[in-house]
Amino acid sequence: MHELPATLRGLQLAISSRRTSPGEAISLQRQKLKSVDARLHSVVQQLPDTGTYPGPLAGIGLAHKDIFNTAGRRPGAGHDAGAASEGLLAAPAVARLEAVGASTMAVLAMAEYACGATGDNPLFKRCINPLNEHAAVGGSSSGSAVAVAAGLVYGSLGTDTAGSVRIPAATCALVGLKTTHGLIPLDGVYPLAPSLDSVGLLTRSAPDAMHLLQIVADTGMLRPATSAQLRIKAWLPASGLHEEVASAIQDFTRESASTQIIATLPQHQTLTRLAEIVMHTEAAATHRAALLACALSPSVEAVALAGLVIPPDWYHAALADRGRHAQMFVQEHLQAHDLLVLPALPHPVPDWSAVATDSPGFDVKQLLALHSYMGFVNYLGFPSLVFPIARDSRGMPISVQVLARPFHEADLLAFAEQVELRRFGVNGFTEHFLNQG
Amino acid sequence: MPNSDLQSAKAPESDPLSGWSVVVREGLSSRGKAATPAEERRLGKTLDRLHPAANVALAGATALSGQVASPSFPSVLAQLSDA
Repeated sequence: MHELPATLRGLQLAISSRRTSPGEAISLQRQKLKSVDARLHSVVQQLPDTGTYPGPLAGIGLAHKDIFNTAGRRPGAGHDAGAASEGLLAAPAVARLEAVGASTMAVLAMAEYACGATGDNPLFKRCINPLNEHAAVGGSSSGSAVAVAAGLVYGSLGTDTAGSVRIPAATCALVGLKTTHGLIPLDGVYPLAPSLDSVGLLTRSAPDAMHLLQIVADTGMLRPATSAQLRIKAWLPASGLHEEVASAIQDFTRESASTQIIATLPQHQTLTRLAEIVMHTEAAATHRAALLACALSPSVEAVALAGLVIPPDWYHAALADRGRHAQMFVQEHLQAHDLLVLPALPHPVPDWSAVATDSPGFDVKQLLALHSYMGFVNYLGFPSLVFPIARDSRGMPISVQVLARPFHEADLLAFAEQVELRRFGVNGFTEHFLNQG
Repeated sequence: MPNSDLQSAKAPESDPLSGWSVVVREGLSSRGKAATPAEERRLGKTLDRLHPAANVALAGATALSGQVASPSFPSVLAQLSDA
């Protein structure tokens, strides 16, 4: 085999039909990872080849955000290059994939301590967007997005506290799944705000994400996909969206005549602010010692410092009231409907220079805008999926975000798979956007 | 600072953020942390922005506190998955 298939499922078929072997497939993937990543800078460290093991993921190369413990190595979490840690076990999410044959080939770049809507990190080289070198790569799971989009690995675990799987997925034409809070164990994952942190997945196709999810999740909690036609509601904000994004989402929602469209989501701002209260407070707790010693970089201190002044009563109330808000949201939006479609990013994917804080063209509004539709989902604890639906005028992806009730990830992925086949074909979403820049 | 003081805190109209400067300084000093005037002002803006949502949560949490023990958040998510 000379060329690797575009999707994980494609490679599994190639292996099962003996067009290649697990060992050959891994060898090809490792060569590609090393040679192509020399210009993309997604990898913090390639991990040793420990051989191939039997299982449904035999021959499948994965790499994960450098926030997960791997066997014998503590993560760098974007703060340093990580370090050997004898006897340390891999995080359960990583271990579950390895137990069925996946090869963990590398650990991937990220924003420092997961604090950033881009991958900008002065400690490492800037990740390059494989779709367009001028385009930003979202964060904080930036290396994951680049490695998967470039076809260097078939999937990556990331984490999402306020969009850190969904934002990079949207900038790189990927499927980005933020899972229900608690569905995938957070053990062995460096925390940011534990009440909001979720392990997520980045892949090039919806079936690939479903396959990996069924392995890493506590499957007793996952609800099976709905067999009936999915009932869709869509929030198309009346203001704040770039016209290209608004037009693309409008066209998308028209594909189903029964979609109910709303112009306002009244709870959005309150829930976003409550997420901020929780995030600032818990980030301050996570980084307390360094924060008090003025030993945090500006990007991390920007997230954590406010946590020192937020009154404890606000934080405790935000947590105590969370269940009530989740119940009300389901009652209003996810009782008569299965899925809620909403924007992922409000604007087209920005140039990296517009969202890099050390760039002359830095525009803080464009950076903050990346978070617009993200944090409230983490406060609710619900699953959310991002995937591309169209191209903008520069050929970059315009994505949507889709929410479901807790543990209904299968409905999200079934919906995305329908869109994928209808709009992009059997090679998944991402292949369609490569070489457009 | 008691909740009622927070909820009723109204800054002078000449500087809507001055009402938060006490909260900011108390929060920082109680943890042995200093900040520049610009940082204090930025933190005051943050509290001012978050305050309305905090009030919603405080009211909700107060209503819940009168009830028999509320289910945990993981239990709520599990219940909602079958809603």
